[in-house]
Amino acid sequence: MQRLNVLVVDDSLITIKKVTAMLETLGHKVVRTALTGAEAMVAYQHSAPDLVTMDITMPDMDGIEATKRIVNAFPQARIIMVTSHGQEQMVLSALEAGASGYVLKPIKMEKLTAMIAKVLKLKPMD
Amino acid sequence: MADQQRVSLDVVLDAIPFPIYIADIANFELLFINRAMRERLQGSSGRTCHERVFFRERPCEFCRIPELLGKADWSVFELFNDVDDRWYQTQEMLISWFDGRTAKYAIAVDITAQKEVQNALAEAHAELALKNRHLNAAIGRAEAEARTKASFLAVMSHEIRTPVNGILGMAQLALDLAVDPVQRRYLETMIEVGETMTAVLSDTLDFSKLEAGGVVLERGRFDLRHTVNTVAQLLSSRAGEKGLELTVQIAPEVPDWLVGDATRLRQILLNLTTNAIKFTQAGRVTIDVACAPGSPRRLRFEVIDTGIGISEEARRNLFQPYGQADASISRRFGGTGLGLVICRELVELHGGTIGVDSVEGEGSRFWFLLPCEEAPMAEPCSSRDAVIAATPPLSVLVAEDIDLNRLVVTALLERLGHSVHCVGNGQDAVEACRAGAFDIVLMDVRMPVMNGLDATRAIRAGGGPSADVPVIALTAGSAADEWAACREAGMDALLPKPFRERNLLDILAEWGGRRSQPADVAPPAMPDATGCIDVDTLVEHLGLDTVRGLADDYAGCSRIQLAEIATAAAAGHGEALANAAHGLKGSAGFLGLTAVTRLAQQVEAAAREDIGLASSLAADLPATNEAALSWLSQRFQMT
Repeated sequence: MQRLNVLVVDDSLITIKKVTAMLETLGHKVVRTALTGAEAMVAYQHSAPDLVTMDITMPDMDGIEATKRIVNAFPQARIIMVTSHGQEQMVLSALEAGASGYVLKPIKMEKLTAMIAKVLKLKPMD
Repeated sequence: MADQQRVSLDVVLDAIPFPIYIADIANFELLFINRAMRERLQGSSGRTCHERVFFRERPCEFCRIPELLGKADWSVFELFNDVDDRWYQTQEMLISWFDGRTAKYAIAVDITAQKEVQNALAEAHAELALKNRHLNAAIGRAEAEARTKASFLAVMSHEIRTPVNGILGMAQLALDLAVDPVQRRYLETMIEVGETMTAVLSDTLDFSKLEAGGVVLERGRFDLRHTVNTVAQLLSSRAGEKGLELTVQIAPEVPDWLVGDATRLRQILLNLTTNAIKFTQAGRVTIDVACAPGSPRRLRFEVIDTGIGISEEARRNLFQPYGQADASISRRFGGTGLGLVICRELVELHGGTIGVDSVEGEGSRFWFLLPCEEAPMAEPCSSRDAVIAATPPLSVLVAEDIDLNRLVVTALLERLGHSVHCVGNGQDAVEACRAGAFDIVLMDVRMPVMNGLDATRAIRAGGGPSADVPVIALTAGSAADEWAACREAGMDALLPKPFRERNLLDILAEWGGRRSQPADVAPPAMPDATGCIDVDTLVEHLGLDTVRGLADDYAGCSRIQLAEIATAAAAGHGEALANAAHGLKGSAGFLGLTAVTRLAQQVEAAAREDIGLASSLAADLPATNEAALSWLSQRFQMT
């Protein structure tokens, strides 16, 4: 199993803690966390992670805009949306922005594991 | 009394099995929590709802109080609580608390189970959308690859056809001189075989250009009856040899003059009629034209034969590439099997439809419907001799890199009494114009060292007696595609290759002795449509050394930009490709490198729509840029 460097983006510290715990159980390493979309941009540039988990509703640039900007600057970026928004329009705009996967809260270990495996198989922006 | 009421409210609310809380909307102070909520919140502390219920130091970002103000009704919404990882349907309403404070009453029902079903659906939806995206990307790549292959095939067929045309031209000239009957027969056979080869190459070229999406229909007025009759005349001897009767029927209500692409129409009819003759051993072939029943703005063309007919099964694959009804047919009758595919694509390009009805052993009826546009009245057409007589002897500069083509053009021109000076590339053409005066220049568009477009620009910019000489573009590409670029470079007219003597005569008659129309050429100091600055203006304002330095910088930076473009194209990343192309467009435009600027502009525009197209366009950039760089270096040695 490949050990990934992950950037976790969520405005809730509780969620960050939970996602981090799950990722670490899976053998990955959370190298950075960010609480806003704007922070996520900077964090991505500095940590060049293998994977990003991205919340959608956040202050100071939402997760869809942050995804768009990261993928634009780093076409190889792999971003999984981890969100409570299940509306079709939201899903489509996230994928259009360049997200490679979509996981709805509550985050379950097996869902996250399967999604990471799926996303790793993709070519960037494929 | 008040005490009695509060106790009874406790009892009522505690009996409800869903969590309930009431909080002051001004300072979020918790005024009441029921038993179900108390059980949930064991271990939490704090005086406010955000501290106690939601474990937050500050008021919640999803707080609905602002929304509740000004509405007297329940607000119902779904909320994911990340403290316990559960979904709630929450209902909230503003109430007046006993002491007069305004408070929020909130009751939450756990809907996690329902939500799981909904979420699974949404995730499946996301997965489907992702698969769709992968599929589209794969299709895009496959299509781009197909287009690249088709373009390659088009270029190769063109490269082969050009020397073949040269050979045929020379053979024709030799035939004019030959008296010995054996020699004449050899030459005639050579021309016949060469023409067959040209036909195969033309089919391949047409098909691959259609596949690559590179065919643009022209719009000109033409005599429909003349066009259709030409087809019959061209094929009458072939029909006669087989003892077939070839007739044309055109209904009287069909207009004489139409607006459209006569060449393409003739091509479709020639293909269908040639096929009909090929597959008919006895009887008749008829070309029939009528207004489509019930729709006078469409014409129905039919080519009817009394030949072998086509089985129902074979009819299904007839208009598909490589679908000659029977593989053995191509051995028996020859041909590429592309004729009908080309017909279908051309008809569809016109917005028409094509089909066939056939009975095996009785014959076939190929038909197609085309939208038609009637043209206003005809113009008179002068005879060959009148045109020759009206043209004075001219001094002609021919710039053409292929020896054979040059010889053919020269021979044609000399036979008509004109004097000819030949050069093999654009650079020599510019030099020749500097050295002497010409009445007209026939300029190949694609040449080594300097292409015809750049050469024309240099001639126009060079001053002297030849600066306003009419320059005629010789091009083997599709005229409609290239005309804009030729015009923009300062050329006056276009002569598509291979041309017939008559085309050349008309051009000489029209342009011989005239001067180029300066109004048609963009004034040098004005930025043109691509946003280019003329390099001479730049030299005038900045000095030669500065511009030479800029040109040097451009050489280095354009190669880096090209590398960026190649990377973005390979990664299939449209936005990055658009940005990189935009950068190149800017720097090339600054030095007046129109060809690079325009191509980069096309790449930029396409990158946002169609990454495949953009990538295939971008593949031409390095060569275009190298040509521009060599032009730049020559330009500065010259000055």
